[in-house]
Amino acid sequence: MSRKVVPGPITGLNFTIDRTASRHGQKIVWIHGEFGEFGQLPFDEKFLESSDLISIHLPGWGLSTGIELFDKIDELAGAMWWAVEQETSEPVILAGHGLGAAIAVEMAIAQPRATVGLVLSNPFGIFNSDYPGCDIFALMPRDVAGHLYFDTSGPLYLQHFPASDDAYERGLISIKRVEVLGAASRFIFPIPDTNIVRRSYRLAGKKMTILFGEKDGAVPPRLATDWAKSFPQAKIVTVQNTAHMTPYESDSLTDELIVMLGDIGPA
Amino acid sequence: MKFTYFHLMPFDGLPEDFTSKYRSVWVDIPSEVQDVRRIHTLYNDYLDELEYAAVKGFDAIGVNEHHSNAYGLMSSPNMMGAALARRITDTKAQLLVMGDAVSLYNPPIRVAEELAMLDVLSGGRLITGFPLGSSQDANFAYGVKPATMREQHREGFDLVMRAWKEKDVFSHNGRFTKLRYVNPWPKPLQQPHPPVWMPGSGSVETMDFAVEIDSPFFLLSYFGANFAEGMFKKYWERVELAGRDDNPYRTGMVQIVLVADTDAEAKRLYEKHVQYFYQRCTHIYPGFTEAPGYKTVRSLKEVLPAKGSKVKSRPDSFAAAQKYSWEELVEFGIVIAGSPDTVRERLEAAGRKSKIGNWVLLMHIGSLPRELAMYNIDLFTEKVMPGLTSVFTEHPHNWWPKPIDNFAPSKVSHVMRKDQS
Repeated sequence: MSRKVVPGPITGLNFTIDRTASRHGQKIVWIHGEFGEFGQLPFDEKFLESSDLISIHLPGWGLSTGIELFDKIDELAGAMWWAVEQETSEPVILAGHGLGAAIAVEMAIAQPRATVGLVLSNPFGIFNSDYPGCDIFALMPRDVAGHLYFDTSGPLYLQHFPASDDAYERGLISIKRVEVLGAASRFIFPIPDTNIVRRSYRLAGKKMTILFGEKDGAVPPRLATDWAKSFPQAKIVTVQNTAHMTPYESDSLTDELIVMLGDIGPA
Repeated sequence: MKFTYFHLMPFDGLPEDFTSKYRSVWVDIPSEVQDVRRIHTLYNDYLDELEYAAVKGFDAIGVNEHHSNAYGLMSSPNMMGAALARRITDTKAQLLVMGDAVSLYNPPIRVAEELAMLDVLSGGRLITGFPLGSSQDANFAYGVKPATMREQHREGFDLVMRAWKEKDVFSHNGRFTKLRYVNPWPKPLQQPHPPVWMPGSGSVETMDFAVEIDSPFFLLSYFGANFAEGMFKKYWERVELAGRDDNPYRTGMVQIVLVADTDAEAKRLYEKHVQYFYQRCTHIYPGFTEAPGYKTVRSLKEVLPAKGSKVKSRPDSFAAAQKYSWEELVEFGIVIAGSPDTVRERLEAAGRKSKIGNWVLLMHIGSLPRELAMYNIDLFTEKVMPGLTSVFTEHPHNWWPKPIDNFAPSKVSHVMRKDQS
């Protein structure tokens, strides 16, 4: 995996981009979720070794900068395409988690011809007040954990949100939460509805796989019905024993990407 | 020193088991707790108290804005200001609206219009305040995005100021508001505009903003001047750095003040009402108090504890105050209460120490009944205030309504009813 920082087209905008060593096959663009990247890609090593995966860090989440330039998700999607174009001019599979999935959809809506397909995990973007999900912006970490993680006492949770007796360390963790959710609030606050439904026609027939976590309290799996209405071609997968952190709690994201790569065939 | 009688207009009917039964007094408090008939009485009692405070000689009376809560029933400060404007014309009291959180109004020109109306209606007595707005109100009750609300607040504030000052119609092409024609009618009576005070809860950005626009900084804290010393120290450093003078009227602070004949009597009269406030009215779900992005990373880093610290929670927090006894609340200066001498000494000491020229006093608190609030007003205006009004008189108050050239206020008289002689 190599990392580079690409100065953006606007002053203050800088993209940090990670890319796997392989330069063969269909290119995949990965966009992390609203809680950030946690310093790890949610794919297994073997997959990363054999795939051409481009991970673009969202501005405002600690590595890339310039979030203050964007008020709307379509503005950010435009800038994300600019970052993709620094790596490749070929059509790509867009994959994302949570807010990253909503951004991936927005990018695909903007440039459907540059999008081969989408693999979305626990996507924000469609809201139903009958099953609104928890308010990730209001809930305190102790209260939101059960909505995000299938096992809140397991190693994954402790790795993502390490406990500390040191008030200073706890303060830094709290500040990090403010930083990433503050950035996310620009696009999915107060309601995570990005008007995808009204523009879904742009993706008619486009290959799409959507994963939901069985116990996801932030993006309720019941939303699968709503997504299926707007995207009848989508393959819906509900992943057992996962909550909102499905890509980190299971191998299902990798598995579904492999399936899509197989469907598409050689690039 | 200048004194404002300030009101939150709290709901006094929260049940004893409120904190165990309900998550929060703000944002998602259920309507089953409401008693609208009681609120009718409270509104009228509270307006009477404010009017009485004006009659008794307070320098100003003050109203504020909160939403979706039982802590303060004023969702529209301007509406309450309007109810008061015609009732204080025979007093010397000014009208403090502190204030309108401009980012909640779309377009913010509505704030410019309503405040101008209030200024004209009151005969140029208006003092304005432009808080950012609490996170509970702005983010959760009104849906303003926390990450951009400071920019939105600044844009709205600048628009209001320009709308008041500009002689000609102009266009506003902002990031958050676009108006082809900006032309509020009427303009304020005070020209170029009424005094502007800048309230904040401690973010460095608000202090910097106040210094930048040469406006008094008001600390909206419920934990007293002792805990605020560090905050004021930071503020005065900024004032000095900006090359401005150290006029104490550049600062203000909210303070709970409760006066009785003796210190012991103060405890007997007020304790349960203060406990009602700190235990029920401020029972706010912590997640509602600071939406991520509401405070900047810069401000949060300013209050990071030292490395290795084991502190669990701050002593100047609602969580801590919920557990304080009356004696602790008084000892820590969270509440200034006691005999007239005690209250006068403490206010003067706190004012001199941090150079606080303006006191925005909460003298109705929690479930305090009307007659006790009136008693508190009587004792304060008769036995405390006279000993303090001369403090800081060597400094000009540059942020106070001033007489207006060629203007004589209309005489307000009650319209006679048919059945009255």
